[in-house]
This record gives sequence, structure tokens and C-alpha cells, in this order.
Amino acid sequence: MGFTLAVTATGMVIVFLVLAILIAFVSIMGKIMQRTSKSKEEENVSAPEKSVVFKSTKAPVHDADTEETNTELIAVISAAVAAFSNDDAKSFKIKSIKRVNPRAAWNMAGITDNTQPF
Amino acid sequence: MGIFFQTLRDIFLSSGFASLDIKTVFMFVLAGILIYLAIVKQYEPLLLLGIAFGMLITNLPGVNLYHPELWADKAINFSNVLKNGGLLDYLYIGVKLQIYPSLIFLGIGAMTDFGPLIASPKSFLLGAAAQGGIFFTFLGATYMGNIPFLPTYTLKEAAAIAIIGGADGPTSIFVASRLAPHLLGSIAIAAYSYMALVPLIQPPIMRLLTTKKERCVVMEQLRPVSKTEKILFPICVTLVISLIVPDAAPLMSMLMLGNLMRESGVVERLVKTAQNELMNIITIFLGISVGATATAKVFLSSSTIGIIILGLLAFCIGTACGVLFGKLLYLITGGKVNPLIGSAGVSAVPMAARVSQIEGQKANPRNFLLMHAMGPNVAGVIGSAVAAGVLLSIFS
Repeated sequence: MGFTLAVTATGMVIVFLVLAILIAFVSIMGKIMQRTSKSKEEENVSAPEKSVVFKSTKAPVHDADTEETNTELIAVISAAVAAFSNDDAKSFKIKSIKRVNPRAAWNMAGITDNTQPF
Repeated sequence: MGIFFQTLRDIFLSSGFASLDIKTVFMFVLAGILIYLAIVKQYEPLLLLGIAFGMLITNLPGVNLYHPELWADKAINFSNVLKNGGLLDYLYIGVKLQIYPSLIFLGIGAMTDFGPLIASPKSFLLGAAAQGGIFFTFLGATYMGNIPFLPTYTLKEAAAIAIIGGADGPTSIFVASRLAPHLLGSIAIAAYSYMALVPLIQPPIMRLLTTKKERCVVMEQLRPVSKTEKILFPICVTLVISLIVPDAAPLMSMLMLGNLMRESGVVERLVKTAQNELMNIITIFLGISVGATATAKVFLSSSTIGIIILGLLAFCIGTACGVLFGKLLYLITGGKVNPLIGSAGVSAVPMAARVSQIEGQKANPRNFLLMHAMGPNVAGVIGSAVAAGVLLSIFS
């Protein structure tokens, strides 16, 4: 009776201990890696500043042809929806197009893509 | 004319048909059922089909493909095996010498991405907790003899059965072939069948032990893991584990070698071979050899029923331990860890992680737990190998 309980306890303790040691190693490794990559990041910060100035000059031009851009956009989106709904031969009417937070949508798509094999 | 009938009679008498008995026929039926499960229901067909067919041909009377008596002694006489053995005896050498499970781990390492584990080291704890299934099953197996109508097991047999809780085929075969070779067939079949049933076994337990609020937890994104870390990880793990638990060294070192080859990026051809051709070849040999040990005498005994019960118990307890530890982490981290990923510590990769993902989505449709669950899942592989090493060092 005592022996089997001892084996059970010993086994669990050793498994936890070994994995705890591994946690320690991996965490230390991670911290060292993060410190070395942080020093590399500081070098890169100075470079992007130039490209930012460029963008602001382009932005105002957009407002002038907002009307045209919008109809173009609608046409493109309708075409995309039609292309993807390839099992529906019937035509559809677009009632409204709302902009969602674009980053979240792409993130989701990326995640779905990567997790497909599972 | 008389010679013709005489010859016919002689052929019949020396054929297997003359020595068929009810037990053998039952094994054929059983093998047929397993083949059905493998092909139609697709329960782990890669291994189960080989195991089922091995079971079929080993029970053919008079065919002498496998001789259990050659493998019964503690010190095996290999020259005897080579002289008197059949085809399945020769293939079984790879199981007995631990070659096949270790090489399968090489392939698994080449297919595994340890990134989620490195990014979130606390997954190691979940992988450790789920191995509780192994040790509590060991308790159960040892005391099973006290319940009437159920078989009694020696300590070694109990340890070999307990490893089913690791939910890891090669690890089960690794331990069983050393501690209880006569039970290898039943243990392997139980292990692979329950691994296929993980999506049925785990969800009720997971839902029973967690609240809706806990299941809805969305975990924060994992940090990116650098290539250097991914290369240092297998080397580190091999050193640590092989030094502390040497009996786990064959499995661990092969697992980590496969992983190192994959992460280094400089041995693409070897990685491709390890993932495909090598895995396939070894899987074929392993399946047939393991099935070969399931002779009527060994399989149709009360010990098999006990193994079936204990196997289920092992998976349930492992899932429960993992989820409960997940709840503990949830409390400690102030709600940052979703307890559902704890059940993925049961190392049926990637099935258990997929189950966590599906259960998480049932509670919160926008939740993507898969990558977070992969951490405990692969940690469980390491955990079960360590547990196997512990059991082997105590009992062999």
C-alpha cells in the first residue's frame, strides 16, 4: 500500500520538478533573447521617420474625389462578393457596406489560414 | 486414385483449418472489427490497420509467424530468435530493442513546432499536471485485484498499463515492451483506440469542471519566438531530461533531434524524410509487430478487460487533472489563463488541442485557443516521456 502511494507521489513530483527546471531554462533563454533584440530595435527607429512626412502630403488629395472613389470601391466589393458566392447563381442587391476594424479581420483570416491543417 | 485422396487428407490435416478452435476464430472476428474501425470509422488508421491485421495473422494456426515463447524470458536468446523465428518475430526485434518508438519520436519531433510552448513556459505545468492520469491509473491498476471479478496486476504490469494515460502511442509501446511485453498488444490497442476517442471523452469532463465564465477567457497573443530560441530549446531539453531521467533518454533525444533538424533549416531533405518516409516505414513495421503480440491466449484473458477499463480511467483522470490545474492557473494569473487548455496536456497531438479549441469556441465564438492549447499539448509529450522514464527507472 505504502509503496504504490510512494511511487505515485514520487512520479508526480519528479515530472513537475523536471518540467519546472525546463520552465526556468526557457524563461531565462527568452529574457536573454528579448534583451538582445531590444538593442537591435533601437537602431531601426531612426530610419522610418523619413517616410512619415511623405504620407501626409498625399492624404488631402483623396477628399476631392471621394464620390468617385466610393463608387469604384462599391463596384470592386460587389465583384469580390459575386466571385466568392460561386454556388449562388442568383443576383443580389448590396444594401450597405460598413467598414469594420480592418486589422482584426485580417488577423482572423490569418489565424484561420494557419490553423486549417488542424 | 487413392494417393490423390490421401494427399488431400494430409494437406487438410496439416493445414490450419484442422487446428482452429473457438478462441482463434474469436480473434479473427475481433481483428475484423478493428479493421472495420480503422477503415470505416477511421480510428487512427495509420497504426490500427497494421495492428488489426497483425492480430489476424499472428493467430493463424500452423503459420508460425510469431512465437511468444521466444520473447518470454528476461534475457532473450537472440540467436534462437534468428534461427527459429518467423517474419513477425524478426520485425518485433525493433520493438523489443526500443528502435521503433524512438524513431517515431524522431519523426514527431520533425513535425512539431515548440513555439507556443517556448512563448508561454507555464504550459509546461499543464503538461505535467495531465500526467496525473498516468500515476493515478497506476494506483487504480495496483488495487484493481481487490474488486471482485476484475483481474489482478503485478506492479510492473500496473506501470505498463498506467502509461496509457500519457496518451502517447510510442511511449506506451516503449514502456510496455520493457515492463509487460505480454500485455503489449492489449495496451497498444487500448491506447490508440482511446486516443481516437479523445473528442468524445474530454468535452464532458471539461464542461463539468469549468464555469462558463472561465471558458470564455480570451488569452493574450503569444509573443514571437526567435529562431535562436527554437534551436536552443531542443538542445536544452535533451540535456536536462537525459541527465535527470536517463531512462527517458532514447525517446527525448530522438524527439529533440527531429525538432533540431527542423528548426535549424539546413537539413531540409532529412526533415522531409523524417516526417514522411521514415515515419511511414516505422509505422508499418510497428503496427504489424504490435498486432503480432495479440495472440488469443494473451488477449482473451481477464487482463484485457481490466486494461480497457483502466485505459478509459487514465484518459479521464488526465483530462481532469489538466483542467483543474488550468483552473489553478486561472486563479493565480487573475483570469488570464483559460482552463480549457489544461485538458490539452493529455498529449494526443493535435487532437486534444483541437478539442480545447472547439470547446472554447462553443463558449465564445470569437475565441481562438488552438495555438495556446498547442503549448500544453506538446509539453504533455515531453511530460509523458519523463513519466515513462520515471516508471522505467523504478520498475525495470
